[in-house]
Amino acid sequence: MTDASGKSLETVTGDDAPAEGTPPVSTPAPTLHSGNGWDDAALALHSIQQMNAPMLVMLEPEGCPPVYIDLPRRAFHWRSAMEEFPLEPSSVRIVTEAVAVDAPTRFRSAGRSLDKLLWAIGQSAFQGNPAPWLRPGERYRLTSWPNFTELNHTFDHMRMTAHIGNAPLSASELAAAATSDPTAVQRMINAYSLLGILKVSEGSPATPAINAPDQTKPTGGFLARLRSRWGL
Amino acid sequence: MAEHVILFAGPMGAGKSTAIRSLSEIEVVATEAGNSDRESVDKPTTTVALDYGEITLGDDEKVRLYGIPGQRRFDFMWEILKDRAVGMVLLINNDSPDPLLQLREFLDYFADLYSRGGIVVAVTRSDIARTPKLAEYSAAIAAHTPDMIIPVFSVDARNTEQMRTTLITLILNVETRAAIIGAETLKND
Repeated sequence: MTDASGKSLETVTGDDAPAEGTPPVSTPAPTLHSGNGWDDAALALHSIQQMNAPMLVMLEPEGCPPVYIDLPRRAFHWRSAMEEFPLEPSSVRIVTEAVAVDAPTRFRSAGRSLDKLLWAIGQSAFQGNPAPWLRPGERYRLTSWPNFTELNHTFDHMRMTAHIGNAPLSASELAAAATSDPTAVQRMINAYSLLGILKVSEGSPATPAINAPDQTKPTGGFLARLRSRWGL
Repeated sequence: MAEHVILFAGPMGAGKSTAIRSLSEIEVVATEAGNSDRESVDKPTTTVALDYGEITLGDDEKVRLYGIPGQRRFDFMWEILKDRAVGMVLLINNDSPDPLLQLREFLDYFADLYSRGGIVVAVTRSDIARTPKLAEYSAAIAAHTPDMIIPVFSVDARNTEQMRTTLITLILNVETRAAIIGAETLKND
């Protein structure tokens, strides 16, 4: 796998690098020029996943070790811990390579769940604005919950997810129903879209106002008291 | 005394007792049942019938955690407890012979809990058996009941933080769903 400049990725060593070389294939990345390299990476990853083609992808954020993505296995390989994930790299170099569906793995380990990486990229990209592939005003509903035991999430994410898991909502409706910050809502929607767990609900009726117990206050309900008990 | 009953169900070996130990503030009480069903299970020793743990929320409020046995010969206990339950954590060990079949069987039995959003699926031992993937569980649930989405998490039942996330999700989903249904009912009246 090589990038457009011909630089070979096989010069990268370590457990997270591919174990063997492959013919060069590169894909020019779309450019959004926002100053955050994750914008381009998110757009590229979304496009690749829409193609549903088996691919390996390398993302190299400015100043960071490269991230190798094994899309067929929904895994990624990175030397660094997720705590070191750069939130706003000025650029991210993107290299792709098509592989056979049944090709053996190039990596020495099973890697980490791709959802962790997509969640981080989706949260960071687009500065809280809608991802370019989303249309303003459309309503969304989850097709499945994210695996919260492995994602770096907040209670607010869980609250918002419970709403959008039970009713189709637009970003603004979700912000109102969950009494959440609209930017945080949009970041989560972007991330879920990148994770592929969101569907657009065309023509859904407006969702009625929701008077859920205020889970943020100790007296607000059973859940609020339980969280208070646990110091959460 | 206000009480909130949470069930922990699933096949043998899925981690029900461990999950309750991760959450309970008291020493978990394990009751045993003599094996009166030697035709189905040829085991002379007693079998754990019920685990019990609790979380105290105040002087007059408790969360009661019941681990109910996986074998169908104990389904009378399921019947007794499910009507009192806020919800259920369904633990499935990923290395069992047919985890998706077990998932469907439990969903069938606990359909009324399921319909009010009161189930979270917690998949254990996915580090040992990498398949089925969580997406396959979600797909099986979607095929079973297309209108409902059940949270599916991978968990280590020994991990208190993960089990708390699971329990919070369960309660959050029940409360949110009830609020949405309540609002829709008001709108339609």
